[in-house]
Order: sequence, then C-alpha cells, then structure tokens
Amino acid sequence: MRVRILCLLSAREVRVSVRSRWTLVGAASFTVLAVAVAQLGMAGAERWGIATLDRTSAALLNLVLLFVPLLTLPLGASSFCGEAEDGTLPYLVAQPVTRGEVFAGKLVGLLSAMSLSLLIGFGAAAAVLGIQGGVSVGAFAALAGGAWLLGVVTTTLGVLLSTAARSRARALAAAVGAWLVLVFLCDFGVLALAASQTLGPGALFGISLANPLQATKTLSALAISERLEILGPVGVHAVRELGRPALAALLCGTLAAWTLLSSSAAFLLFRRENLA
Amino acid sequence: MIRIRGLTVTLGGRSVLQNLDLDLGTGESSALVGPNGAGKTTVLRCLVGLLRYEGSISVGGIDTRRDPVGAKRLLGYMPQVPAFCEETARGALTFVARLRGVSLHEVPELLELVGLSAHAHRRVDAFSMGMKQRLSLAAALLGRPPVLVLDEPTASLDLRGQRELVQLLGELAEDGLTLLLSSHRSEEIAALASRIVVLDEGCVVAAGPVEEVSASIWGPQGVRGPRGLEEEIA
Repeated sequence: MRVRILCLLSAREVRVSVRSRWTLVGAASFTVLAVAVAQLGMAGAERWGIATLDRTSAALLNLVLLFVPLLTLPLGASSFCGEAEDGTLPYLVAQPVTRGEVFAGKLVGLLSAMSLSLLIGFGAAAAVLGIQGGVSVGAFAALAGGAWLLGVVTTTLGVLLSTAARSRARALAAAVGAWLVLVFLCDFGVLALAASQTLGPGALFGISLANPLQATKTLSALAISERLEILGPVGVHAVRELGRPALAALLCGTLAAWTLLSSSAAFLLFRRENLA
Repeated sequence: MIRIRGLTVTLGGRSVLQNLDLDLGTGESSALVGPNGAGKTTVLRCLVGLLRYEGSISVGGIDTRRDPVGAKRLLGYMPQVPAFCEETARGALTFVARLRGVSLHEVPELLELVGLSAHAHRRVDAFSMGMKQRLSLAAALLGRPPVLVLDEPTASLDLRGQRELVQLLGELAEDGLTLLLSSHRSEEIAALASRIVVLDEGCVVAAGPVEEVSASIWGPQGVRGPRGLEEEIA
C-alpha cells in the first residue's frame, strides 16, 4: 500500500464530495436542526423545570442518532457503484494501482468528507449554542465524538451496501432500508422483547449492543451525564454490572467491530468484483 | 510484448471467452474484430485488470496477476466511453500523471499533441465526444507507456472526428508504439493494424496479417484505407 497513492485517491474523494455539495448541505442541515432542537430542549426545560443541560444534550443526542446515519449511509452507498456506473471506477482500477489502494483511498476520502461535514455542522452549532448557553463544552464534545464514531460505522456500512449492490439505485434503496432498520425496527424489536419479559436485562443489553446506534447512544449518554436514569433500566443494569470504564470500552469495541467487519466484507466484495 | 494463454472468462454464468491465446510483439499493431458480444472488449478489460479470468496474461514479461501495478505501468488504456477523474482537461491529466508517478511537464505537451491546449481549463463535461476521446488518448499516453490498449476508439465519433483520431493514432504507431485495439471499422483497422484477430463467441476463428484475413471479413475488396474514409467525408 503506497501512502502517496492513498493520499491522492482520498483527496480526490473529498473533492468529489465537496463538488457534489454533500459536505456543505449535510453540515448546514445539521447546524439548523441542532440549533432548533437545542432551542426546543431549553424552552421545555424552562417550562417544566427540568435540568436544562441533560434535556438539551439528550435532544441533541437523538438528533445525532437520526441524522448522522441518514447522511452517511447514502454517502457510502453511492460511492462505489455510482462510480462503477459512470466509468470512473473502472478507469481508476485500470491505472497502475492495486484494488486495495483504490478501496482504501476511497474509504479514507469518504471518512474524511464525513468528518469535515460533522466538524462544520458541530462547529457552527457550537458557536450558536455557546452564545446562548445550554450545553456544556464537555457534553458537546462527547456528543460530537459519539456522532463521529457513529458516522464512521454507518459510512463503512454504506460502502458495504455499495459494493454488494449492482446499481446506484439499488444501493441507495438499501441504504434507506438500513436506516429504517437501525433507527426504528431494531428499537421496536428490543421493546417487544422487553415487553414480553422473556429475557433478562443482561440479554436485552447484549441484543441492543448489536445495533451500532444503541451502542453510540449508550456511549454518549455515559459521557454526557452522571445520572444513570438517562441510560434506561438496561443501561443502568450494564453500568452496575460492568462499571463505567469497562462498559465504555465494550461499547467502543462494538463500534470498532462494526467498522472492521463492514469494511473487510466490502473490500472482499470489491476485490472480486468484475468491473465492466 | 503481450502474451495471453488459455484466457477464459465467465460472466453471469455465461462463457464470454474460451481458452484464448494471443501474442503481440513489440511495435506490432493488432486489431480484435468480430460481432457484438464476441469478447473483444472482454480481452482488453482482462488485460487492464477489470475482470477476473482463468489462464495467464503477461505484459513485457510481467504476469498481470503477480504484479498488476508493474504490468499496468506498461499499458495506456483508452476505454470505449471516456471517463475522467477531475473536472477540467488539465485537472484530469494532472491527476492521472500523479497516479502514474509521471512528471507534470508531460501534461501541457500531451494537451498540445491532441490539440486541446486552448481548452486546458475548460470543464470536460462540456467537451464534444471527439474532444473527450482525444483527452482520453492524452491520458493513456502519460508516462509514454510502450503499449496502447484502445477499446473501439472511434466508435462514437463523427467522420471528421474518426479521421483526426485515426491520423493521430497512426502517427503514434509509426513511432514504434505497440497497439492492441478492438474495432468494427475497416478504415480504422487498415490505418492502424498490421494483424487481425477475429473473435466469435469467445473463440479465435481467424488470425493473421490484415491483407490475408480482411478479405474473409469485408469481402474481396478487403479493408478500406484512410482514403476510403476521406471519400466518405467528402
């Protein structure tokens, strides 16, 4: 793997995403929504006398969990099959580079574009919210870190969909499907299992860990609040059983495993793919 | 320069190439001809590493499986539909030059060679198909690779564009470049190739010097040279 080639390919990928306005549109949308959600959070807290900090942070966390996968799954999903359709990817592979270099270069570029978008979005939201108060610097940094980790997982998941799908349209449809599953269906499944009372809190926690959104949610909640109730009964159980440091390490490991598995599977598919 | 042995390709459960052998010496020019679906483009795509295959391919003695980068460094590839990785003509060539580790001094030289110096900073998507093909040729020539792989280089060009590109390629072939092209056009083959390899349903059905094989494809008059093309334009 040549670093020079990796840098060239990833820089190009960032330029492509900036040219497509994805980075700026994503950042601007996130800023507007973050400020609006924080305002609503603070307004509700004042009316009902709830602790402002936790409520605003929780509102922002929910926004991150909805918005970041919605932005990053299609980014990854349209990357490989989109360029395979317009002929750019075969042209790149026909140059004196290995498929590994093309894959790594594109992946690093996509992750850089995603990071840039989140940086702009969080930066702008921090500037607005910082003026008005409401969220501590530590909590905001923890939210941004959690959002980035989630972005890494969902971007690589999008790349996996892109290498598995035969067309851009199918990959984008799969990305929307994956978003629905991760955001809604997994939670409904865990809720149904909890309501049926067939599984204990330990088993429920294990199942909910399989969803990277839930892992991010628990990890961010651990970081932004000292109050355990924000984690829900399963989270409280996990903290009591494992302790905060071990639970945080387990959650980070889960997100790392998601990233590693998705990117490895995507690379295996791309390496064997016939590019016509 | 190019040695292909037992090339077999199966795509979507369908056998596209069957046990194909092909040799191309240094400075030789060969044209792959045959009906649509015969496997011409598939051979070229295997050569540049786009398709999985059985058999062996070597370029300049380098096995394309063992050292794909080394083998592809000896090849300049011009796809049938031009693709570019950057917005402007100069940007597209600069990117490929950096990827191939070639001096950037070659970029203006090649833009001049293909007659696009005046359009260096224009967006490629505003180019005509002829201009895109010429830019694609310039990209293929970066680093002066000894072999040019051309996939139906004039397929989507008008007659004037065909004549200009064939003339340019003919000059390059005279300079000792090894050419492997796929084509349907007799004028193009007459101007550029010294040998023809006829494919049908993934197999070589005839191969040899242009004069010997062409009569069996285009009838007793054989291939029409560039003069035939000029008459058509006139």
